[in-house]
Amino acid sequence: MVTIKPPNLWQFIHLQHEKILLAVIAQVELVLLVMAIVTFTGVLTGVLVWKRATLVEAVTGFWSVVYTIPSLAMLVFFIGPFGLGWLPATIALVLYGQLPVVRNTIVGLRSVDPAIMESASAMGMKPFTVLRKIQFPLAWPVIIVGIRVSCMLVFGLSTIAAYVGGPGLGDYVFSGLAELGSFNSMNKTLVGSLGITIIALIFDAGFVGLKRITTAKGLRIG
Amino acid sequence: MATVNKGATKGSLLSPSARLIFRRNRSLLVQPVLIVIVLGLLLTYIGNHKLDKIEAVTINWPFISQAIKDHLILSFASAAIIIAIAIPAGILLTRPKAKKFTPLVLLLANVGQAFPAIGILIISGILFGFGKPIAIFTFAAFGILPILRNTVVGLQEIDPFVIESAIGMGMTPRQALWKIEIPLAVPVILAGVRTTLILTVGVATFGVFVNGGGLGMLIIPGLKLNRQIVLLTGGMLTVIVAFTMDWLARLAEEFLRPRGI
Amino acid sequence: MANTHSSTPGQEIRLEKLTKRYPNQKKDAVKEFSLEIPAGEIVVFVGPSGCGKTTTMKMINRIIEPTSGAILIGGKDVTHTPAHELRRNIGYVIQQIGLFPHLTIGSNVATVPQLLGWDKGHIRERVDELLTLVGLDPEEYRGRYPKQLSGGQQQRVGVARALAADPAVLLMDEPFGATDPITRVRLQKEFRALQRELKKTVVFVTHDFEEALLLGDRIAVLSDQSHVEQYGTPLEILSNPATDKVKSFVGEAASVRMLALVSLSAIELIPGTKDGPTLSEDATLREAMEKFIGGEKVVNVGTKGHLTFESLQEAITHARSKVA
Repeated sequence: MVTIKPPNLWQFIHLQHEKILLAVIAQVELVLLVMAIVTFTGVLTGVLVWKRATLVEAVTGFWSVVYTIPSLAMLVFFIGPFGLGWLPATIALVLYGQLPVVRNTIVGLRSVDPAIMESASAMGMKPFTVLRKIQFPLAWPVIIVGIRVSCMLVFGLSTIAAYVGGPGLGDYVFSGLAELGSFNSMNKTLVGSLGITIIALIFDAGFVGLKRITTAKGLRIG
Repeated sequence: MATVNKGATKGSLLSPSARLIFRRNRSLLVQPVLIVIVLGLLLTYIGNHKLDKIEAVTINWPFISQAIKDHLILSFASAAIIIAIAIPAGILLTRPKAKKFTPLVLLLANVGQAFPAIGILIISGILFGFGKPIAIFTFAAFGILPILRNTVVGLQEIDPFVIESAIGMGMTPRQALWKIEIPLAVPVILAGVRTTLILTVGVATFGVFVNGGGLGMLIIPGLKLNRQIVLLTGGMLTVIVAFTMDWLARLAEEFLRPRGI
Repeated sequence: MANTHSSTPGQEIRLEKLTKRYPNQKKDAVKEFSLEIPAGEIVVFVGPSGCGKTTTMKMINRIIEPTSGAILIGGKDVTHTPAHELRRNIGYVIQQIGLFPHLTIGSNVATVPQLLGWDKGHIRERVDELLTLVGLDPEEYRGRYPKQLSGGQQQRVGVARALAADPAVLLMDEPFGATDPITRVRLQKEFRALQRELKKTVVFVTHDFEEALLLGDRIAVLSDQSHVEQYGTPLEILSNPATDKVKSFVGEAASVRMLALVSLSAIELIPGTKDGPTLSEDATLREAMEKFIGGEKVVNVGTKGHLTFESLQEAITHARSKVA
């Protein structure tokens, strides 16, 4: 009689490595796509509204409310018009990602001492140049922290997004659940969860490095 | 067919101090309005739709009320555990003797946050079994580190010179903690409670995956059986519950905030 | 500010070889600081930033615990008494003020009396008394919150709060630093008048030498590691700076500044009065000089005598030699 041992985690990964790699690539693609959109829209929003207090309150309030919507519910609302797959997942993730970026852009821009911007204008710089060359670089350390927070958020939520057909490693988590009792149930769940965690931590470390590289020399501590 | 009187006026029902708070913070009015609108839409939608046999299994008051009840149990129970552990721990962690542990704990919190909630839930379910109690403990475990981190960061932002004055005037460290530091930390703590509730209400929707009940019980079957009304009802009810919790927590923050801060 | 009321008179403070060393640093922050502070006087620690003057002051009420050395207040060694007991009898005013934002002004001022267990009626009276003393109408300010007050007003509340339990000793670290120059001068003058009545022992830290001259009965000029370069009255320091460091701190025009420190009652007058303006005996040499610069030939002092420009010059030389 042949006894079959359930594969341990490493064996599972080895056996399935091609499929896992595809899922990893899909996961990374998803996050990069979402973060590209989030960064662009979030920063743009922040730049447009930071001066006017009522707008700031309205915009921050709006995205805060969006943020309190439980993720499963949000995904579900987009299935109607967009069906299952990567589209509703991407839209939902982009919406959730707004708050940290918008909020930090506003806070960052506001934190720049008005005296600095005034002296720049007084030297004859045009308003947009002041924003581009002076204010934005000074606000950047805060803004990039917002982007980082948003990115971690997106990683976490992308797992559940897999349930409605979103791409990435989240699928492994739900396969693991669906196949409960089978050999690879735990392995699949672990691959999914740990995979996302590890990739998220790599991105997190990447942000730390990115922040250091992109922050103006004069602002770096030490 | 139920109709909702969305035009009901609020002003006449409120006491003068309540009216002052609403005037001071207009955003507090937004959520109730949204809640009422969504509820209205939901009821209209259900009212105008003839339920087929499958849909009727879930779209009925007993089922829905049970789902809501379970959802609230999951949320409040795990929130209670989180608050009872994370907030005192946060206070302890900012005491002089414990300060060296703070960076380590914050690091762990950041790392822990990268691990997906649903992943922890399912792994926990596989290891320890399904059902409400396991779900509650898992949700609590998931939420402790973020709330702990928020509490620590919030406490660190209290003006250290206010504390130095207190000690300088002759308060013992314990007196300074209870009379000065904790009252000043109340806004931070209340914000932490609110964040906890949002977190647990959101994560309670996953309870369905581990037989914990909750409003996910409408969403998932709706998804699997491709019944839009069930799906949307689940979604909208979840949003209503989430908004209501958030709104009540914000009210608590406003009313309980010490004057002068 | 005004009024008569009884106040615990100041006690003498003796600091013996106070040293503060921080674990990761090579040099002591404060090295063997010894000083005798007479009862009822304002002693100003003045020196450049980083010299350790604030650290030294904070060792007196052990907010910063000394690494070694002794502190004696009123003859009693308090180096090892329970810190919070010691502090309830020492008033403490810091630059950043540190009012409790969640408490009313009245509650802020009442803090130490409450800690000491005074009864409520007594506390209420005392709070009103102190608010009036620092120039704030109790009816108006008692119930307000710190964030509703201006910087200068907050600073006054800080002083009132420190005086609440009527301590014999007052520690003040750049207490008027966070205000604009105009308010600061006003607060300085008001505090000086207040201290004339209350006669507490005050240790006052500042980096502003003019403030030291204005307020100090004695000045300790400090340098690195709180080394005492010179300890003396303002007049002594201006007329005879002991070291180069003191000289550079004192700066220019010492003689002119000294004029404000000597009162007309202390100098020799030519007997009899003549045609010309009159100054009271309490006025200073500087006011007499102002008159002469304005063109007057003779200045009468009280009813007893008068001064000419030449006699003023002699008086100044004489005053300087007395201190040498």
